[in-house]
Amino acid sequence: MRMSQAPLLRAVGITKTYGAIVANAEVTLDLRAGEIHAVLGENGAGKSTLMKVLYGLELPDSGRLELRDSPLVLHSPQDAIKAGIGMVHQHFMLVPTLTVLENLILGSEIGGKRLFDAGKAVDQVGALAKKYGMDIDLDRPVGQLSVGEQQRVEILKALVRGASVLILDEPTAVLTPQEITKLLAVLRDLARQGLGILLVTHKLAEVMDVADRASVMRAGHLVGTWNIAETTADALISHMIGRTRKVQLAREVVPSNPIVLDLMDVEVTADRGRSALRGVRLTVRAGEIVGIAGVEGNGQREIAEVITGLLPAAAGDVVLSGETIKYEPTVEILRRGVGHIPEDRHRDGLVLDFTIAENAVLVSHRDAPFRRYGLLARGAIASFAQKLIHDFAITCNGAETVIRNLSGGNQQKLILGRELARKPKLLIAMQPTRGLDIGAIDYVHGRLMDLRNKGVAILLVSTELDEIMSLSDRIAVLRDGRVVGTLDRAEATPERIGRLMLGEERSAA
Amino acid sequence: MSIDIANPARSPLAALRPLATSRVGIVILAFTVVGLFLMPFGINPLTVYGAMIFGSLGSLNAISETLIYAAPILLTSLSAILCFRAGIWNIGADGQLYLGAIATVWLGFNGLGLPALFVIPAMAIAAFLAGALWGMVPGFLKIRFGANEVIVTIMMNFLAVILATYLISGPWASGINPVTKPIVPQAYLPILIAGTRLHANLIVAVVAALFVYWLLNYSIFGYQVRAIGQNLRAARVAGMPVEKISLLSFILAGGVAGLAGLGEVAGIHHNLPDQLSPGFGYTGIAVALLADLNPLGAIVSALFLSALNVGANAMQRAIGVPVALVWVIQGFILLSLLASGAGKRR
Repeated sequence: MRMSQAPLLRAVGITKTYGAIVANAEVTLDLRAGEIHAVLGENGAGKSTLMKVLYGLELPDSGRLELRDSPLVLHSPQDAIKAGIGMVHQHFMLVPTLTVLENLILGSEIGGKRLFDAGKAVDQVGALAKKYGMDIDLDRPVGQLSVGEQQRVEILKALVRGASVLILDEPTAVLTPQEITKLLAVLRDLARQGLGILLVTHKLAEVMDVADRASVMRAGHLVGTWNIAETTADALISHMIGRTRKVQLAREVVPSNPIVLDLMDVEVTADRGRSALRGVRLTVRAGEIVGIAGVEGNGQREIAEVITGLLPAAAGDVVLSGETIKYEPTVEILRRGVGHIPEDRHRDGLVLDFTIAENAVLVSHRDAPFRRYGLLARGAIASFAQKLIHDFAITCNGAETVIRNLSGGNQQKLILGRELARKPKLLIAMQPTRGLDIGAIDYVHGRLMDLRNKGVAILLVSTELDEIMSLSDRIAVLRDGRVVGTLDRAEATPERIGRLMLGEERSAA
Repeated sequence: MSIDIANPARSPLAALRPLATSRVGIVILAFTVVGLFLMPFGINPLTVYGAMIFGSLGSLNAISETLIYAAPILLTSLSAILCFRAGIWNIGADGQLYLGAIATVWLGFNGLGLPALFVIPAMAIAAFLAGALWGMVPGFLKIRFGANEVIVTIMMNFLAVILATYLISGPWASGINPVTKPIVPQAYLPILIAGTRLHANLIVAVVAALFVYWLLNYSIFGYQVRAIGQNLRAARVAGMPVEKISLLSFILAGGVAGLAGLGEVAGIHHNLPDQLSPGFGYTGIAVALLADLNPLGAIVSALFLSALNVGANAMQRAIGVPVALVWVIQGFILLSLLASGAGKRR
């Protein structure tokens, strides 16, 4: 590993405040050429703000940047790109209908400054791709590429623009285990060639696997920077959350219980006649967590929607405790004891401009005691919200706080609390910890396990394999709208699940 | 964790931002900009605005005219608010007003021979129902066929005017002017201040504003309207009957706008004239947006825009600057409001 000690990019004493909130306080961080430098921290720790400063999206209130020991002032991402700083966003910035080549040269001056010479562009891009060991068909439309391939196009895009510093924002969040391995190999290779790589992530395993150094941020401060070789994952976690993590998921033995949810050969046709679910067969018993693993977009959302009556089943049957709910409207299904933690709390679960109290009764406002003669029973709603705030330790300034102003973790706690208060016999938990910090994740996991032990049937859908593996009693792998395999807890390994996700293994469903 | 590309804080216009986003700021800006355009023509904007203020507030008569004009635009703004808050773009208040007027004048002839005491209540109910029915059509088409409510409501505005023109020139023609036969005197709305034209529909409008405010904020229905307006998908996931609520808000909106037609016919004209509405429905949208879709705020903004319109007429008589000036100001305000994100909460 060629690693010069002179810093490539330095941020010195960066302070950035948004009103009363101090997002970055005197943050000093340096990135060396040839290293992978992980930036760790819980949500709201200030990682994003720091990256925005480094990419010219935010001007710091004070502090300075240095590139190879000379001062650097960034007013915009264009400045950053000119200085050789590239960024791979979590949500890709690609034009799906254009080819890889076209995406790569958009906004760059490859293939001529004024007139475009396609042959020259192909040569230049091809040479770069080869240099960094990324083989990609330049003529394919980006929309046809897998997520992992699209991400490599994003990386290549930064390299085409001459990046010597690469910032990656949660790059593995959308990848399968196999794709993650591949990405990390690419990053290693880039570092070996002398690039400085800043890797923003919350996945410690990857950091331990690939990074040379790790900086930990907490509450806007940089807690410290450690050489990976000289630290441990546990130590880094303690730095992140400021205390030692205690994990205890008490999985009690629950005797064989009745089937609560039974999906019988369910078919769902989604938009434009595309078949979204094909003959899905799945049961969830009381006191059991069934995890659904799979790359996002393989039918997870449709499963939740067909159970809750948001999507009609084209064929098959959806049975709740022995009764078909296939033709029932959503309101009736929810009333019969189905709790639903939706996939995207901002899109599906909350009305962001409503108060905590108003959001607390989003589902149950039409039932006693929250309804009186067609009016909202404000007193009952307020005290219910107060109870949720207390029971679920929601940090806020009272029940009249607009929910937009809460952190993701507190928003999720409200949804969890609201659904649990309805005493469901089946809980559909979609991505229940997405975007939450470690403390909140542990909390949500604890509550879910608790529910399971009390005999609630839980359908857990998550793209985080760790989450599925640690919570589920059984794991069903979904690919292309089919359950391609169901594994018992004992036989499930990340490798087996990964192979099923990719379609490399078939097992009896 | 995603990076926000838009960073308005660095725009050179950043200093103007607070001015451009507050309602009062936008109104001041509109008057200033329009005033600047007047100056090259040798017109002193202060004289113009002075004449407008005098014309709208300078005498008992001026004030009463301002109040008269405020009633229909308050009612049509409530029609807009009820739908906009549900995330539905109802541009059809003008048409709904016409239907209310048609129903009013039909009952106002009192061909049914109702006792005097019942004529006005019957007209009010009929005006509400007719407007509601007219509002239900685009609501139904939207829910059943996914028809765009903006297009349907605008088209139905034309239909309503054509229907009125047909009745005026055909079955209900008075034979002299382009107006229908007059309604019976028992159907006249009471006058609030003797010696002026100020009629009781102002009270109807204010009560309707209070009612809509109460409905939106205290009833289950209003809660559902606000929920689907601000996050349709979350409302659906929570099991709300989204279609039913949308349709009902369209019906109520139509009914409220229909009451504006009641006032124009039974309070002022005492018949149904051609060109009944000088765009009350569209002004109502401006009123609604200026009030940030708050029914109580709409009372204030209705009075303001009413003063603007009434004052402009007086100003034209006094100085000769065309009334169209006020449409420019109103348009400027409306565009600025839309640009600054008013009505975006859906």
